Amino acid sequence: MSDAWIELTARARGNRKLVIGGAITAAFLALALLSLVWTPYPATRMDIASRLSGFGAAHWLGTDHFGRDVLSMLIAGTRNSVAVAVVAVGIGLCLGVPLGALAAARRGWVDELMMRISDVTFAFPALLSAVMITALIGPGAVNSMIAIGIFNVPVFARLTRGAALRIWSLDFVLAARTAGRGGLAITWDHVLPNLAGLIIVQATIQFALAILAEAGLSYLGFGTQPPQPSWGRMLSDAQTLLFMAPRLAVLPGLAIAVTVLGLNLFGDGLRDLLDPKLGNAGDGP
Amino acid sequence: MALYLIKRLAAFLITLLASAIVVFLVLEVLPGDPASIMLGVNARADTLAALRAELGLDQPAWLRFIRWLGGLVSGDLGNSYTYGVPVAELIAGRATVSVPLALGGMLVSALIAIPLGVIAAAQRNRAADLGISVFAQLAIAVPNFWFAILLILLFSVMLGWLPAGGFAGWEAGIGPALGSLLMPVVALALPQAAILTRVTRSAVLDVLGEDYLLTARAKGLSRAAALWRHGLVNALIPVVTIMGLQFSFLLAGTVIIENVFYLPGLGRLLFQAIAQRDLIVVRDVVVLLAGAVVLVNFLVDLLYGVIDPRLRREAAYV
Amino acid sequence: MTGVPLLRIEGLRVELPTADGILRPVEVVDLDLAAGERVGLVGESGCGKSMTARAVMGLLPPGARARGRVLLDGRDLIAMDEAALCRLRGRRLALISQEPLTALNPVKTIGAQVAEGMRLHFRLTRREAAARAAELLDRVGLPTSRFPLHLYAHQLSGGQRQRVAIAMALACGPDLLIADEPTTALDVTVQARTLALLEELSLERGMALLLISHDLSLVAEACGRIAVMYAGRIIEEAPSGALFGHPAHPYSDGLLAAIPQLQASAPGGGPAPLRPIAGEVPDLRHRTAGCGFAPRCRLADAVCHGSSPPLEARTGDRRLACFHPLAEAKGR
Repeated sequence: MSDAWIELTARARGNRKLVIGGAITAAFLALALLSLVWTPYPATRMDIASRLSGFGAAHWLGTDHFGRDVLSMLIAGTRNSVAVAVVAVGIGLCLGVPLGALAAARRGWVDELMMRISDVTFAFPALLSAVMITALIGPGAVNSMIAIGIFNVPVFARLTRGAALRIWSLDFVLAARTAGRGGLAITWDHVLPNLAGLIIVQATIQFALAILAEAGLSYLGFGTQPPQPSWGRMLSDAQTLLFMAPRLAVLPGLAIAVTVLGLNLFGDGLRDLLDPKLGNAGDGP
Repeated sequence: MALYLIKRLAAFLITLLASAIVVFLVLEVLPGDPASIMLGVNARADTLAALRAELGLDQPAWLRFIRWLGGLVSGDLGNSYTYGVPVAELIAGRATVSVPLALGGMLVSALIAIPLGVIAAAQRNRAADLGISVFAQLAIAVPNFWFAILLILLFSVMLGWLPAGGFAGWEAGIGPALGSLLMPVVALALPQAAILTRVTRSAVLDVLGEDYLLTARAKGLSRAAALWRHGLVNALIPVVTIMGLQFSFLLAGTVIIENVFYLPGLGRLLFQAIAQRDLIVVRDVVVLLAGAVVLVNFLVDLLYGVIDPRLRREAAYV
Repeated sequence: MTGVPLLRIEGLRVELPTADGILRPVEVVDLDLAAGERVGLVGESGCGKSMTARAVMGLLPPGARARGRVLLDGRDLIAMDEAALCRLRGRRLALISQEPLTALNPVKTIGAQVAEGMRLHFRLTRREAAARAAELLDRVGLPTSRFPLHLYAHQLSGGQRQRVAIAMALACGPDLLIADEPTTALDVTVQARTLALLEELSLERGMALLLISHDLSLVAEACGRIAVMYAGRIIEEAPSGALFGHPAHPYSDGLLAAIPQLQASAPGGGPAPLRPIAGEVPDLRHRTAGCGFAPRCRLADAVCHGSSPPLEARTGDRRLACFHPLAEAKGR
């Protein structure tokens, strides 16, 4: 077992995407954790006297129209994005993977039904429906988590189902069935371990998408509500101030882009790393 | 071929119906009385009663559903409460902005992505390929609404070449109308182009490794002619498929972009309707958008059947 | 051999730069083909026979380079520019490859694919080309009454697809047809028919045939002369009968001994036992200065390990690259 680990870590270190993406992702998570205990200034503190100040010693990235420190808001926004993304992807994983595994194990009408339902879900532009859901049940971070999470379920369900089906057709599963093991045991012992890599990679990608979605929702006003800081809302506030403080429009977007980029690179690097063992990816959207 | 068509048509209709049911149910499930949601808590009892009657709330749900479906098919979508005009008219008007925007976005993204993907594949692992991959990675990571804001910053605020928002209207002439749509289309196209570039690159790489290209060259076709005549169609199949699958993301993007640029399209209509609790409009627009996605996927299926003869399921051996 | 050969391969080498250094799938090949002659090129996987074929056609994989000369009617194909090669391919030389399904474009009709070469080289109209395509398909045993031109590759069996590939190769009347493992992917019963077809076509049209295979017995039927390749070189070349009768190179002998015999020929009656050749083909990256076969040869000595024997002419129209050839009187 340790030989496999040694080989794996050696390949990991050689994989540029993984290293760079991993570094960015780690930095992002570290900032999120940091923001729980410290930010340069309280992110919500308004200091009208120094509103709209530019880059400077007191406020490294300047302040917004309410005098809030931009750097602090960005750091606090990290926490917000992580929280929403973690919960949303978590919902997708916890509901989607079992459903997909079930459909692959049972086949028949269970499978058909699930496929039809996921077809219908894919018919609705995800962000749009998230907007509608938050509009109807009320805006806010928690509801964003639910809305985005709902759309992660069919993604993981489809992925799991597709990959699981391929595994079910393999000979070692046939051997297990001949030996009398039941669907649940086979799924747990044989199917899921082989899917783990695929699911982890997809989860990283979905994490990035969730961050984009949360930013979009917040930009439109349906996501995280003031006074909680969020990158998306910083952007929408900044749009009205483009003439006066373009920096306010550039910085939050940059934060989003860099974070998403890091996550995508990390996911791609992971996929390269795990590739020989992965085989083909399942059918996603 | 006929069998394939019929199966796809059936799937299309069922998904369409299911989508309509879902939309209807979601709004049914809303707690509270739709009329008071729409009119607010301080509405008078008789106004409420009138609206309820108009909405047909006194009838059972399934009957309302059937009537709504009938309305959708015949084009009578009832009247918008907030705007006071037939919803169909409202939607048609807004569509004159959204449809060109969405189509423009798709077209521009294909125009950017396909050549880039082909170049990246032809120059595999060399400088051009790496550069294009970097571009694609960046473009996927950039939120399209932020890119839109950056475009506004550059072209409206700093250079003053294009309007920062609003739609000049088709009546104002093609030039100004397209001028207002230019930045929105580019902002919309960017993330799509990034994804399509990667897909095109891998599709072309797959084709480059195929034996039938060797056969074509053995017949005397030049490298370029072989790729053009034999590779292109085969490479386009996955690209077209992905374009179709991406359509729902494109629509979502259209909605956001419309809001960034204050364009009077279906996206803005939806948002305004949500803000004003005009449930009739919300319901109709959402089902329309979902229907468009399902339709596009169906068309892609059809196209697939036309391009790829292996799908037509005729007898295996003669 | 009388007169100028149609194809003369002189000192052909194929180099492939890789991360492990420069590999040589083809170390050195010298081979002549006369017009209308049928020659077999035999060897195990990895001996370089397919690379030789691709080098002649000028269709090496990206990164690979050919050195030496390949003269078609006196013109050097290796020195030729791509445009001139395109004019020759299909028209004077043709290639059939191993996997018939992937060699045909799945989204084009067989008629279009057979007609393509003719439209390119002879500028025929669509109708003229279609008529000629129908004739060709007819000639290879796929009459258009049962196999209309608008069929697709996936609607045909493996043997039928290979026949379409043959029709495609013949379309412009090439002087040389290189068939690279044309029957390997086919069922045994179909193999014989396909080879018979190739032989017939060669006789009928005076077309030279370079038949590449790993199967010695297959090649012996159709070809007058056989060249055996090992580790990137030709190690023996002789008329088929002579090669089968008394192989001179230990490797050729080994190949023949590995063919299952049905007749009783062992001392106690019953078929002779199979004698496999011990060892493995040397990895491309680990070739030595000595004879490539030496590690596996029961006759090898210090001389063999020290240098590679050159290919030399011997009696009986034979060429051999060996320091210790087997005695002539070895019967089979």
